[in-house]
Amino acid sequence: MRVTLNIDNRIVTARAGMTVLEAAKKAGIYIPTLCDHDAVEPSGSCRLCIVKIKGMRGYPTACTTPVVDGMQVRTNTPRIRALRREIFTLTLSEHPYTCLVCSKKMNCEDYQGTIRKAGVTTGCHYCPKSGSCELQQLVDELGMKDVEFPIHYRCLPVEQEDPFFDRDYNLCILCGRCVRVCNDVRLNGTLTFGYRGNRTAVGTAFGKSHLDTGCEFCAACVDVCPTGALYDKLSKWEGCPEKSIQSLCPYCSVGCSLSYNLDGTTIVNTTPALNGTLNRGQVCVRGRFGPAQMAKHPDRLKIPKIRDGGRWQEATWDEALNHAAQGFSSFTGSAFACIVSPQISNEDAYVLRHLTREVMKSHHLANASVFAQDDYLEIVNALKASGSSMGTIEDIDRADAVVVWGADVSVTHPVVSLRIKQAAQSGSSLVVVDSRRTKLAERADLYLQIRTGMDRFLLACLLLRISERAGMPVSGRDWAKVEDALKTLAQSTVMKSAGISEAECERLVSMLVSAKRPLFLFGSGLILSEYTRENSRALADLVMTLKNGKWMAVAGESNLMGCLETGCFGLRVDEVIGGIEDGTIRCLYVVGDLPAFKGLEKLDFLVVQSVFPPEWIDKADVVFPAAMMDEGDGTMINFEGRIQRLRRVSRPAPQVKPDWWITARLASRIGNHTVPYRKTADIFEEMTSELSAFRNLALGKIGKKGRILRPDVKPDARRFFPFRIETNGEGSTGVYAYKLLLGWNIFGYRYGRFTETVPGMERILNPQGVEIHPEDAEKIGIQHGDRISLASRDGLRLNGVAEITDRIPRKTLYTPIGTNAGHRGGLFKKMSYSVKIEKGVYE
Amino acid sequence: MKETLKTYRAHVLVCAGTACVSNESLKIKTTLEQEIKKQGLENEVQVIGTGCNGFCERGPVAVVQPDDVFYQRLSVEDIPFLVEEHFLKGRPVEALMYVPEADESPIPKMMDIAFFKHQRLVVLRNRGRMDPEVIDEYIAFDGYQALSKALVSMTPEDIIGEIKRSGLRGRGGAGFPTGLKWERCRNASGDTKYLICNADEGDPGAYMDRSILEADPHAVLEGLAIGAKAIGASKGFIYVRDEYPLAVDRIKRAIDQAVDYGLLGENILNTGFDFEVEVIRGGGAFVCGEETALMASVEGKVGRPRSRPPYPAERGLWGMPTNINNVETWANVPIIIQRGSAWYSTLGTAKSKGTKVFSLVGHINNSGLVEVPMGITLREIIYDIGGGIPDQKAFKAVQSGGPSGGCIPEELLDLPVDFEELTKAGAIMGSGGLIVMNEDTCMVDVALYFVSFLEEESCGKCAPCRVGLQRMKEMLEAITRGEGTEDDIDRLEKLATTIQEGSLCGLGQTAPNPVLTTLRYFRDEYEAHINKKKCPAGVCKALITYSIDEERCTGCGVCLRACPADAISGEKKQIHTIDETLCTACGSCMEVCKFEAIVIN
Repeated sequence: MRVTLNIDNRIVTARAGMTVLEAAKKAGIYIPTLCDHDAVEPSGSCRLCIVKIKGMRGYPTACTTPVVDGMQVRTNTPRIRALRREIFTLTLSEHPYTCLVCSKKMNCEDYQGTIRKAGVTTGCHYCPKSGSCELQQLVDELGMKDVEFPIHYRCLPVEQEDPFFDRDYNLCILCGRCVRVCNDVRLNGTLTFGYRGNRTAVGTAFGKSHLDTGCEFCAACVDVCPTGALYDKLSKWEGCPEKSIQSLCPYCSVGCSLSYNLDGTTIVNTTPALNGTLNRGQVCVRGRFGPAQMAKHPDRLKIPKIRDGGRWQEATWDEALNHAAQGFSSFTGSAFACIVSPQISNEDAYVLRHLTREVMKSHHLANASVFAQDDYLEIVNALKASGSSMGTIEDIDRADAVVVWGADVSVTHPVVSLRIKQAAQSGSSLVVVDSRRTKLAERADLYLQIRTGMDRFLLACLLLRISERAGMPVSGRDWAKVEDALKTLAQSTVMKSAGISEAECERLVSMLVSAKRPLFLFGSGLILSEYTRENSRALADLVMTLKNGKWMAVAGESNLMGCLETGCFGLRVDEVIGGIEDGTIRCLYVVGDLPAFKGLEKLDFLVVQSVFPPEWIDKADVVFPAAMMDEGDGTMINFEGRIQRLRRVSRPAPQVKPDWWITARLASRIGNHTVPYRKTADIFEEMTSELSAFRNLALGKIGKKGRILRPDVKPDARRFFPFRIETNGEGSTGVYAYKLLLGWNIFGYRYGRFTETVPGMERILNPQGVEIHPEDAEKIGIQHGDRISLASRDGLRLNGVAEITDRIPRKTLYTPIGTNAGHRGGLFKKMSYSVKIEKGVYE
Repeated sequence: MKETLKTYRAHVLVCAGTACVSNESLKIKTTLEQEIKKQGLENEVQVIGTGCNGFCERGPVAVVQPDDVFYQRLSVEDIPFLVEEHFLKGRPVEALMYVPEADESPIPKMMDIAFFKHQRLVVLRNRGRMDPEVIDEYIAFDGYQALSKALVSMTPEDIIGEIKRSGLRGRGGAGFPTGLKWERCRNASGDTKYLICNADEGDPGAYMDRSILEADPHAVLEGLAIGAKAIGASKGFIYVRDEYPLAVDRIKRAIDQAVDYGLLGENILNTGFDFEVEVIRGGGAFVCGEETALMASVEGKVGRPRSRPPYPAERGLWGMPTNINNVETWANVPIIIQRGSAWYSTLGTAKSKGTKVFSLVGHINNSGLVEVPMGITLREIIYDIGGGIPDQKAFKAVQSGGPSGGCIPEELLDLPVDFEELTKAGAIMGSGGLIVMNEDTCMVDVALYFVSFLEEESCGKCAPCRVGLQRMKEMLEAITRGEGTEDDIDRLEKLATTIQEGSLCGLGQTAPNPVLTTLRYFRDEYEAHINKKKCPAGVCKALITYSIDEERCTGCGVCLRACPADAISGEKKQIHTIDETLCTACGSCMEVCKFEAIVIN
């Protein structure tokens, strides 16, 4: 419905439900404001947007007053202007304002003193926000010349102890944007208003540090702060960005839209793009603080190098490419292997696959993803083939029941977790099934703490009960076989061993049966299990049984999906390592990051192409400095199967090149032909004709929201998969009595390189931490913070620091992978191990 | 029905309001019971603990009915004699009766005492005559008749019409017509609607609502239930300060009893109507008396107001239409329904109907709780009921409406008390606090006191209130220190207007009233502080000096010993002197001097 109102003698139309401020803004009528922000609901606290409305008492605020048909609004009478100035004077009187209204401020730039990198801000030129401060803008807009009150300095200590952002509440004008965004948008509740009257201050409950309050460090508060009170400490003194370029965040498989804010060609910082479809103006700590730090890190590889008799020599690209091509040429066929990290674009991946398979004629192509790809494909293919529907991120909003199974989304994909929290807030039921009580589990309507590795039994019980309760007989191919197997299920026994009570199971069944649009999100807990095959089949059958059931695999690093679609995978990394050890593989091409492993020295020829030097660099023969994803362009595919375009946001050092550029030149030199691509669009063009998933795609048609790639093979309608449900002696005994869960987490990006590079990351998640249940700790005699070591029968060894918590069940341990330096000895084959635990450290 | 219907020869109504309880009235009650039993009169004389009698100045008080004998300033020691004399021998005890300041003969009967004679009890009709902890007593005084009338023979529209015709206006401060408010909430779309009873009485020195809850909790519950029927609500909340333990206890007890009797809860009086009431205890923030802040607090959030519109009638608690009235408003409802709007509207003035309860405190002889018809003059309240100013001091001002009310001077004492007249004078009705001030009061200091209170109690959300009051307080402090400058009065007035017009909620919008009214009526005092660096009332320490009148000083040395700053010197039996450089103007010497030899300059 539309309404018409009169604002300053102009007829303005607006949508019913809009505020006067929104209607005025839409009509191009300026009303000053400080506390209003697009990201949050209005609060009417700064009182600058006061207007006069016929028939209303006093001066209502435009930001809080809804439009009414026929409303008559005056925004700019002399009295309103005077009142605004008086109110703003009061606001300024509790902000160090000297420079704001100084009559000589224009001349000041020339005589500006040295910038003090001290905590306390005493005037504009010592404030990191100078130039982008909203108070400065308002001083000019309202024509402030003087502030008649003496400044009231609150003398609060500047809070600099937490990572990522500093807080100087002496500069705070209490507009409350940060409190609103933290509570109402991020649903986090870290920030609140404390005290009353003149002591009113923004802060945390009981004045705890942000680290202790469960702050996600998403920096949504920092991004809405109009003053220098909250400030990103990593870019604090980098100056004001000149321009912004929108591209994707490459740090997980969501593909959030980011604004890369640049000063010249340097990334000052990154902020969420407000129009991002997937992240809707929000982002996580990685996307907010990662890109700028990664891009400008001094350790980056900047120039190609060749090792000549044990000494590294800088080389031209021609020299380095020729040297590598020559080396590779002697090892065509199965003596050659390539290991690729999933942090590359589709175009990079396509060219790499081409080099390995077509040019080097080798099938030894491994993807270094934590997700052993055949397991991942097993589950996704079963689901796709069953004929059930694959969900998208938008389906989270539409679902009335969201089941998160074996996925710690608040750590792996925080933006998805936010979406789930928002859905739960607006009324959909949230179920979490996980052996570890995740952050999301704390908000769930129902949380089932399932024993590790027992998921298939609960899935089977659910399937049986729901099929009995559905009201009509379940039909579909192979259903009879599934049903026969289910009938043998000893429900009470398996549920007991899964640690699930009858009541919990029944509650989940009735939630699923009554849901109109249930959505299953699952992650590493189901995919990277010893029972992936059973899990995937049981899950596919379950989703098939539900009305309108949808599923989504929230998994994979950055562009793993792109690597899979372009065929840039094959062997597992440990298979390549085995080949090196037994001497069948003699030449290795590593693209991206890879931890050191035994046997590297056995190789005859080793080429590394990466952003950062690996720790084993001295074993390599050639080093190529590669660009990061945001320094090139191309496309990537997120976990939904959505293809999106990357835009080049900055130029790396002159000798740093995109992966496709390097690989294509290597291929041309080995194959003795000219390079067929001048730009990534040429590769994309070729992909559309060569790859079935890319058929019918065109770069220009991908659009801002991206496009979901749908399999063009029609799945069998309603197909069920029989699966094994007998137990095979669960529960480890003897010395290896503990189940170690490996947590896939956001900080493991590039095998921990990310965490080491971005200051503060290691403080959010202790990279060495091994969680242990209080009762177990007491039994073994371990205190919080003790050094411990873990060993499995099949050779896993790692060190860590005990963190005592009841998040995990008894007889279970948990540690994040990738960041734990102790993990660096090897690569994992699975996500859970039977281990023994000892005090002290392995050498 | 139990003992309540037994017939007794006499009833002793012992006040069990907070003030009397804190003066041991409960012990007095037990002693009375013991003594009566000792005399074998337990079947003839019944002792009842009642709600606040109102005459708190004279507490602990007790009234003997049907004789209407008023005993005051009782102590436990008086009781054996009182019981023996009055109940055994039939001789009322003159020594425990009220003696007005002026003449010496005691007044035996309560209704002959000026304090009571001029009052008109409507809301407080049950105070001092029944045990608020026994629902049968309330029912015996026609309680819950109005509810049964409303549920059985009236439609919601009838009820709202009746309330509208009665002219009842909100007793919480702004005086919004109650019937209109109910109608808006009734007409708002929404399946779930809530009622709130605002019992977050935060004005210093005011205790009307506490007293009503303590004296007649069922009247509030009955009012809420009638409102629920009219509006279509099924849940009500009573938001009461945690500092009112007795009121909380009584209202909770009353809810339990009403539920037991089928007067609250499901299927009330078998009419199919459901309504439940929950008590929420507030944390004592003054701003939580503001309706939107109160609702935030009920929801479990930080108590901060929000902008209106949308009004609570459209979007209140948890986004649902909500009707919020204060205790006194709800307590007015049953009697309006029972006796009819025609009767009710005969009370009061043209635009302000009914009565108003005031807490009369400060420099006044009969401080206490009074209920008077709207339109009565301030002079009648202060002199006829209140008995004037003690110690033959002159009246200076009366502050009406709590901390954000205004100070009304002597020339306006004949002002009829109603919403419009008080507003015209720059004050507000507020919830009904009246603080009387005598000639020894410095009006700049009074303004500073109220501004300091409000500055601390501001929720801190909006800039004009949070910062404006800080700046205003700093300016007033400077003036009381003698550091004011000539343009300070203009700056104060400008700042006051900014705060009034710019603030988000009622707290800020009315906060400058004490400053504005004192500037309006007592400008000369500000000018004396600023221009002459003098405090005419001799209050502002930086502007006064103490000295010793040589004529009167006997050299007794009491002041010398009392002085905490060692500023007084003098030999015994010699005239003493004060060293101004050491004196902190604390006034201790003046307090102890028996010869009025210490003088303020």
